Amino acid sequence: MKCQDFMLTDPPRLEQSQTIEKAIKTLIDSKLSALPVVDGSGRLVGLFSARELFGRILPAAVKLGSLVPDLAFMDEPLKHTKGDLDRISRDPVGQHIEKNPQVAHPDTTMMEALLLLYRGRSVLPVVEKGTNRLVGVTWRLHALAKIMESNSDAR
Amino acid sequence: MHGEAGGHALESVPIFGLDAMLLATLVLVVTYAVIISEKVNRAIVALLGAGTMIMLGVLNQEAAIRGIDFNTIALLVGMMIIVAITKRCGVFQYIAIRATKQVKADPAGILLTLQAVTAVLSALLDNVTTVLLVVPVTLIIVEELKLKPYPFLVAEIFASNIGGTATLIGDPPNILIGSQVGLTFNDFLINTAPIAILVMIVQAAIFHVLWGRGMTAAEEDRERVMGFREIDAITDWALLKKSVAVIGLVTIGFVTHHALGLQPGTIALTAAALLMLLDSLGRDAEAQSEGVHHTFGEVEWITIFFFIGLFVVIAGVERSGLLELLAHEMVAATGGNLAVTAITILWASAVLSAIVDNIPFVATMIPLIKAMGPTFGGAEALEPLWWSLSLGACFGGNGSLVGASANLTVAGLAERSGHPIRFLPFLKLAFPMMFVSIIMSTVYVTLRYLI
Repeated sequence: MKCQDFMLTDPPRLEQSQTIEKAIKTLIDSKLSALPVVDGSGRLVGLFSARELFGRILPAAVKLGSLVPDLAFMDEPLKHTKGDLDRISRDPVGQHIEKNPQVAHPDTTMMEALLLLYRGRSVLPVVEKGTNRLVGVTWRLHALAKIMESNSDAR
Repeated sequence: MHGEAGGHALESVPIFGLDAMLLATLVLVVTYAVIISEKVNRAIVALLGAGTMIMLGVLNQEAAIRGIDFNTIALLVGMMIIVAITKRCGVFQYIAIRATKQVKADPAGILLTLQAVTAVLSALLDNVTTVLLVVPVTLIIVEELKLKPYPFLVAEIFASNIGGTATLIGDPPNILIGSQVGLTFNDFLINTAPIAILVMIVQAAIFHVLWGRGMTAAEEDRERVMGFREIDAITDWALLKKSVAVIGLVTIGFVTHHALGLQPGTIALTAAALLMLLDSLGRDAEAQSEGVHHTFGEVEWITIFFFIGLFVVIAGVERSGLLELLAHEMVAATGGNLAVTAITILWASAVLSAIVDNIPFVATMIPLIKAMGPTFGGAEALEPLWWSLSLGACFGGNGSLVGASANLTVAGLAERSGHPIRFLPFLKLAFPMMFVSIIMSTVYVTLRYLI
């Protein structure tokens, strides 16, 4: 089983010049936790995600990993948190993406794709080898649904 | 097999037709050159240097092992284990937030209290550990107040090195000097702590004038920081109690180690085992192994093996008679005058420690100074020299970004959180600051020991 056989083709995507404000709306409507971001010629430039936005809201020190064990002592009013996002709402989405995300190729095996979804982000873009053109996407629930659609040899 | 002690010279024994002293010098110079170049990890270099010393026959394995100061190793490992377990309970975040709220989240006040917290923690723990604990929570507080982190991080670098100077366990040079010379925890408290406190006060004043008094934060931002609930930073109350109890025991142990006839290494490593025991109680065998495995994993093995390799290299050099020769040369150069020697050691240690890692320098200087004993009338007379070495090497670490491992650690954390500290701007501030501390130390050493 290869990615090209179960991925969602012509997937939802964001243009890198779109504003953050619009991108957040599209993201929420898509019901996905992340969306691939492409340039003018459809090449993948990164992943726009709720996770990336949380990184903007949280103190920069959380990037130091386990050195910040928790933030239980911090309780911020919602309007302050919203303010953090409002400040970047006019920025192009391309400025706030995870660059070089993990990707799969059309001929990547399903086992490898599942491993990437198991270890990494919940959304996995599928790009053409060499050109980096976005051709599909899969995500945890999508892959799970595909698995459940088939008949197993256990029954 | 040679039965003689490590300190005896082998001058007349040729190896491969080469003089042992020449060989030992060669290994030492190459080892140090590669360590300074920072092209290869320092632990690898030290271990290769040690292996080469033994294989060339400068000293045999028995002599090499006798050269390793296991008291230093045990003290380092023991403290690393205690910190690795204690930090999990969140007490260090608690302390930093508490200190911030104590001054009503006023930026200038925070700059002062966080320096004080860093200095005190670093007197009790190793400097690198201290900054790893203090810097992340500093970044959170400073970001919340919309202030630039640079002054806070730089001030913490300085405070960690100054605080470390104050005690036997605060900074590796002091651990080395204390262990190999037989100076006690209290000796350091009485001799290095007073000047460390003075230097800290002067530094805090300079930073206040330079940065603190010009800082402002919006009222609403300060209110949010005042809203931090430090009590919620404590993640594990049971562990906190165990850790505080063990740290209390260790402190009592350090203060009384001389009277008890125990080495600090014994105290630290036994206390570490005790804390691991308390931490393991009530857990099944598998969870215990996992916990202990994780704790051991947090020991900085690079530092430990660096020390081990270095000890062997220096034992080789010592055995070859090179250090004795250098000591004679140095005494001759200073005219056999104790005061001149002390001040020379102070300044040379400071400048060299600012440029290169102070650990290999101090490790080499210790046997060298010991060899000066007969000239100055016995080991007792050398005391001013040990304090000069300690103050020079510890304060010297403040002289540049590469002067001490804590500096590089902070620079690394700053870079990762998006506020890099650059070498040259830091140097412009750091070198004069170090200069001030060494001038103060010169006056202190002169007044206290030389007049």
